[in-house]
Amino acid sequence: MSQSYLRPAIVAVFAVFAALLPYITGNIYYLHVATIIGVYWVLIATLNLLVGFTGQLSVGHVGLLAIGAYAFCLLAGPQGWNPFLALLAGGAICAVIGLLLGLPSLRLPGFYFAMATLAFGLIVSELALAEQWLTNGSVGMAAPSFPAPFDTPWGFYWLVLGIAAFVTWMTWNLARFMWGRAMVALRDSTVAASSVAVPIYLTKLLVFVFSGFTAGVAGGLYATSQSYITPDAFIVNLGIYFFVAIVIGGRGVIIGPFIGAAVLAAIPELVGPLAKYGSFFYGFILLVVVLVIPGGFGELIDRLAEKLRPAPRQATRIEPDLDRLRSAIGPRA
Amino acid sequence: MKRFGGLVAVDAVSLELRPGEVHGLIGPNGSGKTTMLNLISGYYTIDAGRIRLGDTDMTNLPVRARARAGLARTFQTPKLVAALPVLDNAMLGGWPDVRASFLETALAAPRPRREEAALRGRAAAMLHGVGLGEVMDLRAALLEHTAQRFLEIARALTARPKFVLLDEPAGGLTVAEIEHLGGIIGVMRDAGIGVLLVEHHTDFVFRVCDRVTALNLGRVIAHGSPRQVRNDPDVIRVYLGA
Amino acid sequence: MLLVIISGLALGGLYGMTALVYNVMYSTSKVLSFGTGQFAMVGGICAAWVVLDLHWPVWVGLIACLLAGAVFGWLSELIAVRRIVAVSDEHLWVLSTLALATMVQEAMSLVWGTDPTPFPRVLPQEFAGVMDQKFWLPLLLSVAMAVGLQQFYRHSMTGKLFIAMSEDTFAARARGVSTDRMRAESFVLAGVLGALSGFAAGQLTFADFALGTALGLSGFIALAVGGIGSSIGALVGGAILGTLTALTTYYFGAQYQKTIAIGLLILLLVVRPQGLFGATQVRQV
Repeated sequence: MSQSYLRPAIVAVFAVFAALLPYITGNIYYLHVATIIGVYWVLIATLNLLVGFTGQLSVGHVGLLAIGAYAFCLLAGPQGWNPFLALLAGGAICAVIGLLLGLPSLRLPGFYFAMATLAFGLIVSELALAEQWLTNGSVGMAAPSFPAPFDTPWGFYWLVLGIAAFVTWMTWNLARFMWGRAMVALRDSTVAASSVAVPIYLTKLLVFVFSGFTAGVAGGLYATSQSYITPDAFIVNLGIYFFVAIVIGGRGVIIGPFIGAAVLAAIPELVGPLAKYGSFFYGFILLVVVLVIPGGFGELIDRLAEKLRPAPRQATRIEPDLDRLRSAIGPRA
Repeated sequence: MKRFGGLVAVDAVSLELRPGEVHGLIGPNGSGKTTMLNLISGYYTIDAGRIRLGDTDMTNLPVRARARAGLARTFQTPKLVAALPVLDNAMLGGWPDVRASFLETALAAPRPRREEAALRGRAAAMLHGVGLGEVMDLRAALLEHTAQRFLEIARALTARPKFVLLDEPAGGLTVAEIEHLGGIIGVMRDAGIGVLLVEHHTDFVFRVCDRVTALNLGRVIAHGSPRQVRNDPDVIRVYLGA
Repeated sequence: MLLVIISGLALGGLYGMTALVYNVMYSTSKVLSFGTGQFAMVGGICAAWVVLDLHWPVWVGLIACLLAGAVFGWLSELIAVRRIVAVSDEHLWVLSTLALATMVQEAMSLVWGTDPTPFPRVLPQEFAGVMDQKFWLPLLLSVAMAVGLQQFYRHSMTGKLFIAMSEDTFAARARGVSTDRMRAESFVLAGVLGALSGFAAGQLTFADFALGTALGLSGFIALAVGGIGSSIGALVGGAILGTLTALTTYYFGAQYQKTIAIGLLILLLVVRPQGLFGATQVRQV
């Protein structure tokens, strides 16, 4: 997996660039776009574990984002909670919802899960409109901001950056250790996964709950970044955008979806007319990517690198080292 | 006993695997060899009869629990995780030993790090042992079919199993490779692992096995030492006659 | 109260028909298309446009609607399914059909607008309460569709081939069946039936671009409740869901429709994952 120092170097350069962005651009609007990308990334990073690694398509993640946002606004606003506490509470609520939604649906074939989450997304957007006593209906509600020093655009940007970095780190850890292998194994071959005792249902459930938690946190951050939320912000089609980011970046890699998320979020923000056709545009890209490069750009680059590397001689002749095998199996309990 | 619809696939077959013994299971196509193996490893549910490991009754345990209890297996068509490198595939065999929780892993606590290093070492040793040391970083999908068979054996051994079920491991192998396979099975036996070898290749079975059971049409037709089974008139008839 | 039940059953007929459309595509491709509900949406809007905007007779609208469904069904198979089925990766066909469904829905919202438009009267009948055409039309058609499909599967060569493919695609191909062509035909049939269901239920649902997603969901619930592959199951599942939806709306308000529907689905799947009339046992190895 790891060759050379190329990857750490890229990550380091990017980290410095991201941290210094407020000094690099004085433009508040660009900073806002960067903040939005970071907020989405908090959700997409772990959704990638669910979609890209584990192979479970959660179509209704927007519903979790919405619940996180409303929970944050209600708790930190009228209830007067500390915003950070409210942010965590929003995450916790979404984690519990994820558990309740996943318990029945993750035991069944993937399409059932996709449909259950789609239904969940639709339900949330309907209830957000209808339950006016809680959500103010279509009027929406104001989002509280964080205390100093996070109350300025750049302060908030750094907060989002910190949270996004932490979530990315956790995602990376999950992906590189045994749990990550278990996820990919159950995605690619349930037979292989069960033959080595991977707990398939439990793994899917844990990933979904974890992903639900960060989606809730992302919701709170999203609310603050918009400073005002209405049900319109959480249309189910936003979920398509998340998928495109993941699929275009490449499933089974971490950094690819980030680039996907950044590019896709920036395009409609910066190119005005595209915003109107946003969902159509994302649907189109998703279709093209799935048909042409189903593994996304991440996998495409890996494959190209594989081709370029001096081809390792295929082990046409397998020469076992029986002594080594003996000592490896040897110490048995 | 196992039925598929109205068809009885295996009936009244009794097998006993012992630690440190290689047990061969032979029979013509459709005799129920692979069905037996799927019953033992838990992919099929059993309709009548019992399956025990030591003193524990495993008849109703799911595949996963049986794997945890020390039962590892390979497949007739290798079931690998194509997207992962060879080493990672072998490491997956060590999943039953993973104690690090999801949260510990997310936070890169000491335990997942320790387990990772240990499993990496163990899997690498197994891969070198079966002869795949040179291709550990290659994606499993790029391996040739025979190499995939050996990778499955390495994965099974990484689990440190009590028993290993091999489903036609010699299929498609060259003479030299079958020789290697025999050596590996010998090492497994010496290490005290009980091996069930389901195989078409009867010469190979008679050579490496301590005991052999022959099936035909889902029933035992002969059982005993390789010499006994080889000279059994029923076995000769099934293999040679009409 | 009778009106509530009847409207629920009529809605259930539409859900049942959508479930049948799922089944038709599933039989040849093992794909549950996210675009299933969009057939009815496209058909309905197409008919409404021909009749209301172009002022052509209803029967022209019906033909246009069926044609649109056929073309859409054919394109779905060609674009979103054919290449994916070859790779046989569940993950990918969910994504590709979802992408296509989104594109179609968004395109319709841009062309047709986002406001639901009344659907023309199909037959010259004064509004007749519970005996009105907007209730009996979808109900009657759903039963006819289920019976027709059964006859089709049992007696026509194409139908028998569909069944053969659903049992074992490889065996069918080995016997010289052009599986690609059969799959395309099943999607065209699905498109036509879906559009027809949208036409029959148009007066109930209006011509609305957002119908597709909701209907895809409701139809799937009907399908899962009834059991994948079963025509009776589709009708019964649809009837249960439709009645429940109507009663919920009557007693609690429309905003709880989906919550109740998904609750029903989850409850049933916990108790009986294969659905009421389904009998699928999957062999892993």
